[in-house]
Amino acid sequence: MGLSLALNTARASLAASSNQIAVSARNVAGASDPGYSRKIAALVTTGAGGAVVNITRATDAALYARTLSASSSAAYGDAVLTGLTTLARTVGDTDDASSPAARFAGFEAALQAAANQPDSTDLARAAVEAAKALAGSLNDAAGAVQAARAEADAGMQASVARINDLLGQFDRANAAVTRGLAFGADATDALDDRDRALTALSAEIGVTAVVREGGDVALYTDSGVPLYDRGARSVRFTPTATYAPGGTGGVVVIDNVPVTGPNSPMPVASGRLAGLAAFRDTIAPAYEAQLDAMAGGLIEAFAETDAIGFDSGPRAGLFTDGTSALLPGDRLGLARRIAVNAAVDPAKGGQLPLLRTGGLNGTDYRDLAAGTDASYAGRLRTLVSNLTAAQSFDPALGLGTAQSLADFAENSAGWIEGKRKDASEAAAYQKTLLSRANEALSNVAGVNGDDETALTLQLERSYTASAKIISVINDLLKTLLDTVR
Amino acid sequence: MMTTGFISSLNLWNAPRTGAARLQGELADATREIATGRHADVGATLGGTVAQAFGLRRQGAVLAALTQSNAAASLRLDTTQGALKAIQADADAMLKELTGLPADKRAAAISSTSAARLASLTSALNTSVGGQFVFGGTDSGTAPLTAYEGSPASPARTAVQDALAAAFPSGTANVTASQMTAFLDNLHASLFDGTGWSRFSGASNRTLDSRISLTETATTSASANAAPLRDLAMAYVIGSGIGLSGFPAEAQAAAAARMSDLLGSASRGLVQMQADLGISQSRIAEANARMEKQAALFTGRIDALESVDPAEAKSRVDALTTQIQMSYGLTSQLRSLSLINYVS
Repeated sequence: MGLSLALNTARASLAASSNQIAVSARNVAGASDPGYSRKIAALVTTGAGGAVVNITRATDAALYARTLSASSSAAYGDAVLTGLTTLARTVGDTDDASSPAARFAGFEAALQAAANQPDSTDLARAAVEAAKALAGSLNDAAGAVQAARAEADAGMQASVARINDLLGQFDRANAAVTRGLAFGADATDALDDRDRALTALSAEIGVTAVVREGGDVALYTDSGVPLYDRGARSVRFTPTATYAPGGTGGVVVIDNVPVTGPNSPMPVASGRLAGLAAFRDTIAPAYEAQLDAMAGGLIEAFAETDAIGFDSGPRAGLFTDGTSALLPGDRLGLARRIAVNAAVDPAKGGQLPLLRTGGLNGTDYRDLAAGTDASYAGRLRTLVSNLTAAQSFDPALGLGTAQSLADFAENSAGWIEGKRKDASEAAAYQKTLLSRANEALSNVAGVNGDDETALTLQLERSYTASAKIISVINDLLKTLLDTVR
Repeated sequence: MMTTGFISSLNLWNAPRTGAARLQGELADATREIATGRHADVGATLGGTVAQAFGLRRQGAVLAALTQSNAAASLRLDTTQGALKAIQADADAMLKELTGLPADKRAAAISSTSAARLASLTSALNTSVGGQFVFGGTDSGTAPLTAYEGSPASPARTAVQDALAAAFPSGTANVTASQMTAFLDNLHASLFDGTGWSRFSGASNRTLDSRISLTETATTSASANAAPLRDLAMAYVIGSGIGLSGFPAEAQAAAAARMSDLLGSASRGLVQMQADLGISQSRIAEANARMEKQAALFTGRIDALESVDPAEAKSRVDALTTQIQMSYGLTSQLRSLSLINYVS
């Protein structure tokens, strides 16, 4: 019976067209959602005039993997740059007199001026004030380093919380996908949800996804530690609220494997978490060690020796480690503690002339040649030459070995600014890469509104034609029935 | 359906404004650069080179400090030179009087002038500038000399009187020339040479050295203990302090001969001192000129590192403004570009 077959086909066509229009409407709705992938309604004929709509989504696994790694790298670069920018605030503008390097310059000039006019109380006071400003700027810089480390630590804690949250989301989406695929239902929206969670996760930690049978996905960090495998693995981190000089922070542990810190067998290499950890554990402590070396060098350059009677050993002169008159044995944390000796600080009841004669630690430590001469310049000259002489520095600090303290301070400023410049260029590059990767993916998997409109128009015609056929068949059947009556 | 050159609407709509944020940032930077004439973020632009910028500023600061202390040293040297010049004029005048007067009137005439000149020598050597006694050497906080004639008697005067009494216990009326010479030799050795001079002068033998440039030091003061000044003081003491009129003519002549010897050597020595200090003065002037050039060089290099050509920055602002305007224009145009608007 040809007519009823035609009628059935037309009905099937109507249903298919409606389905396709529905999919197109979904696409239009998702057009401005970057996580939405275009749904493709493919018409499959089933023989005997039937047709079903099979919904798939447009995607490109390789491009998607590229956006994941680009997003991890961009987040890493961004985290490092943010940290370095915080540290670079201790350097500020070269114009600015408040950085340690600039304070060294001011102090050297003031001390030189005092050495040329040792009888001038004003210049001696200016030199002591410059020394206090220098010690203060080292204190501030060291404080800023510790605050920046604590900030990075808090960032790591937030990142770990987000990773755990995203893994939970991923778990739910993954279950929906596997269930949908097993029942042969439309799992495309669940796939999109899973990808959204994965994209967000890739910004926090470098991640690789391995697709397995049944649409199930396992996640590994970029270093190979399992993050998700038929269930989310625990990501743990113990935050450290405040940092002492040289203090070490907690490590991030995934599935009982430490993934940050120097003792990690499989350290993560990208993502915000890795960037924050690199800043907290490597960059900031290196800068702090440089500041400590400056403070230690200062205390040593101004030390006094016992010249009379029994030699009680050298003592701290103009600069002390804050509490003790003895020379510090270890440089750790000196930048945080360094202070100007109260014995020479008029604001603390000290005697300015001691700067000229020495003897901040008692008369045994006086410069023997100083006498009572108001214009004796020998001691001040020695201090100037101690300050400007090359000292030896630990090459592990990364700034060379033999140089003057002021050069060292300047090189340290250059070190941090150089790192910031590199990081900022790298971050800009990573961002560009990420936006290119996203564009490429969006062009493959995204929705074009005009295309959908055109498609809908086409489907409308098809729907109209099918409807017309039904109406024609109806007329034909009516004619037939009328004839029979 | 999937065609070559497929573009998602999201990309199409966002394409013109993806760069807008970056462009706006650059515009803000360029505007600031025009206002300040320096890079908006010197640290990020220079990177490791900030070490150099800091170093140049430090050397500039040290040069400024040196130039300032050179001004103080110059003032001290000018004052010292003025005092030495006056002292020398006095010494030359004394020598002239000594040789111009007839032998019989000499002792009486020079007695009062010597005393006055000794007083003016003392006050010249006690010259101070800004609270600093310029002839004090490193002991610049106290006046180097105490007035010879004064009450209570100065230690120097007491010492001379004691020496006189010890040498001529039976009065001075019959002293021979050789006795006079021996007395003067003895007086010179005990009071005007070595430690005895400390009865006259509390100055330090150490003169002041100044760092006049990054690499040079110069002597920038004279001490009241310099040999010519000691000689001069002795000459004046002979003239006024030992009662020359009370000696016989023979002894007077020996004393006058010694005086003119001392005055002559003092005058020569003073010329030498002034010349030495003059060298320091000219070295300071040269150092100042050189440091001025160095400072200008440093400023120039800092400028080269940190400065921005305002004209270049302005043209950058123009280009950026045009770009941002185009981006806005395109965004609004794309909004109307939709198939929906053309199907009815």
